[in-house]
Amino acid sequence: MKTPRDLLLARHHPATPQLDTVRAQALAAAFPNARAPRRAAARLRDWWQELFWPARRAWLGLAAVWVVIVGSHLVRSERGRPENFTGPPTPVLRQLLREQLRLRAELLDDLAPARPTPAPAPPIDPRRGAISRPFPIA
Amino acid sequence: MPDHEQQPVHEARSGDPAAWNTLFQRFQLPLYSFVVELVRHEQAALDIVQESFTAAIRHLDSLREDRRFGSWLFSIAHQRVVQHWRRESRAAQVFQETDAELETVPDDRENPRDGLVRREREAEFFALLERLPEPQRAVLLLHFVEDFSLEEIAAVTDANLGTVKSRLHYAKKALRQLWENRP
Repeated sequence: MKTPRDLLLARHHPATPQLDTVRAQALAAAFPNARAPRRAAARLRDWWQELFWPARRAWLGLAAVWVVIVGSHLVRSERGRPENFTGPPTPVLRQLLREQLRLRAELLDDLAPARPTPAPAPPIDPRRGAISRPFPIA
Repeated sequence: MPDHEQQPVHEARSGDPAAWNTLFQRFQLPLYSFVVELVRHEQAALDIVQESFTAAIRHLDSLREDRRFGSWLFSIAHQRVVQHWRRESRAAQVFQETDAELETVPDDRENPRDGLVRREREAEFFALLERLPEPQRAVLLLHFVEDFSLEEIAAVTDANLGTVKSRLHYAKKALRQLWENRP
């Protein structure tokens, strides 16, 4: 036996797809931000499944290689760093620097080409000394 | 709505879209059935249902008791139906109601089991329903579709309890008379 409720709902049941659309539209209008994260999450999941997951061993191997490379690089740079990098120079260091500068200067002097000798001065005209002055110099 | 039926109204109050989706999915077909039987226009009924959903999300704070969500949602839709009637210049219809007794509507126990005959009688039932005055039809539909209490129907239709009792009584009587006097 069908109740009036059953009759009514059965009569209008074909409208269910339109009602689903109406419901979705009302929710989308009221919660515009609720769908965005879901879409982003879905995109991330798709990317994960399509790009990463089928070749996951290759990606993991590549990642391990990069970890080793970066790690060894960090270790080497740590070892090569001077211990007292920022401190003021000690007197001994100053002395060494002065010595280095002196040696450098000597080295530069040795390597520098010989200076050209100036040309000999022209002979002095003997008459120049006989020029009479109009008045005597004090 | 039956008391035992749990609805995620509390979650909806915290703005959970999934809770709203569950609520609307539960009520969309009964609500549409109620509305379309009153406005008799499918697209207008769909528009009213969507407006009712949007208004429900926006004004949930005005719902005091979670268990009244169903009747509250129907009251929103009923307001939209009345506005639709006003737009259609049909709100001024006034119907004479007379005193009588009627407890039940026609049921299938009186009907032959034959499917074709049953469908014909169902069509007859809806044809008779459509002949009822709109205020009586609204009350009868709320009674049929969601089995709301008289108090809930009064809240939905914004009428006092006595008026609702009277309308439901005369709607049933009119339906019975139409049924018995059909050709």
